[in-house]
Amino acid sequence: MNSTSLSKSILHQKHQELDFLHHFHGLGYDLIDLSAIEQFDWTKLSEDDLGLMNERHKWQHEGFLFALRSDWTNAIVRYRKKYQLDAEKIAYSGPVYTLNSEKHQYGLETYTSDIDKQTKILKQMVHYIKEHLSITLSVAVISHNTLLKTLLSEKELADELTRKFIKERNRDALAIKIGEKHPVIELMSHPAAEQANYVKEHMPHLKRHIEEMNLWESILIEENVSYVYGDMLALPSQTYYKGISIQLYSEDKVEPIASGGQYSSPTNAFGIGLNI
Amino acid sequence: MITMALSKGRQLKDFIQYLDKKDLTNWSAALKSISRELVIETDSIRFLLVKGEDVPVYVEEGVADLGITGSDVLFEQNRQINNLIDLPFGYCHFAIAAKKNQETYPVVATKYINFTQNYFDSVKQPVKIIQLKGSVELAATIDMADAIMDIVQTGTTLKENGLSEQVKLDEINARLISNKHAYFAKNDEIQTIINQLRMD
Repeated sequence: MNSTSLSKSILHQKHQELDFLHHFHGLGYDLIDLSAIEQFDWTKLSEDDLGLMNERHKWQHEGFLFALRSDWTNAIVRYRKKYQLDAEKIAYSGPVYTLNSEKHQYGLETYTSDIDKQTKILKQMVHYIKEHLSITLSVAVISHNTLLKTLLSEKELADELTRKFIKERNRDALAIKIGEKHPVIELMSHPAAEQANYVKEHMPHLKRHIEEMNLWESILIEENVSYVYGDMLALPSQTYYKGISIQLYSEDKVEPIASGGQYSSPTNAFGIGLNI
Repeated sequence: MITMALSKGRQLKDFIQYLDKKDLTNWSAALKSISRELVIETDSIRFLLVKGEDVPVYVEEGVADLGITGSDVLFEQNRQINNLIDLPFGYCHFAIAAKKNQETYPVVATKYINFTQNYFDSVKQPVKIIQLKGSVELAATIDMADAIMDIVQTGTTLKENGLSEQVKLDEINARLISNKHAYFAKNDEIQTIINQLRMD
């Protein structure tokens, strides 16, 4: 890339970020900015903090643990535990770092249990992706973070190998671990695209979960996302994810362009972030 | 278009045989035609030919949507991938081999350091692991280690180096793996391939 096109690319990226913040500020979102360096107290690390530490750049200084921000929602959850945040909906942008990469996240969060308000955030984000970024969304995956809790015992849910086999969709190994006749094994014997229908037909006690998934699914179908799949095997990465989780993909890309979901920490919320 | 990473060598030959058995001759013909190429394409699939240990890397990074590699490689690497189905080739097993049977093996040479550590943790025995890249048998033959942890198919190599299998451990075979996101983003195409490759 020559210096002119590099400069154009940098200007485009900065302009895009400003455009995102201006656009959503215009729609009534409060803007928030947080330090990319987060400070932790060793004695107050939560289970979620510990779970993420393997994936974060971290160091110790004068008795405190410091880490680079790896996820905006996670940073905001921690901020809200510590400070009062009066806004009902916020927009943010800024870098996030994993151990070997840097990404820019632009995102929206709303602090309400009102589903209409939550779904409005999703619609606004989808519109922004389509209209402002000119990206066509081809696939969406919707999951429910509490669905597996109803199919697995507490012991099974806590078992590291069981969780690994579910995450890897390794039906053969999981069948040896929990038994060929376990409902999760029955579910996994169906192709991913047919698992939602299987649950609807054979697991009536999961009706509430499926209805919630259907509601969010219908919004994405209305927004002309070509394929919307229900993922019945999601295990939440953080304990505060307690409801719907969504990933949006553009044509021929294997990394989601946007991902988000419902969470509860300390009150009900919904957030969705764009990965640029 | 689906991209599939395959490991070169014996596993590739086994895969071609399996494709012929399943009447997937379009793919097998393409793979039979390769000489030194590392990428080969048919109308529906692109194959990347890589080192077996690198297959999960290509899949995790999303360069390949699917991959075929041994479960020994997956045991050793903790990759964020989907580990989808068994394939009926590449059969062998992990084993501890030594010159003679001992109650404990305090020093073990291996390529598989994570698997070895997990095994000795599970039997509550301390172990010093010496990591080697190849010719692992030599370590026990010249007494650099009390035993080796390696994959065993026929046992001929062990025998030729004066070693024998002492503890038989996990079975190994080829597995179809997928990138976590491609599993949904390209679900139709991936499900078709799963159905085509699944054992009868």
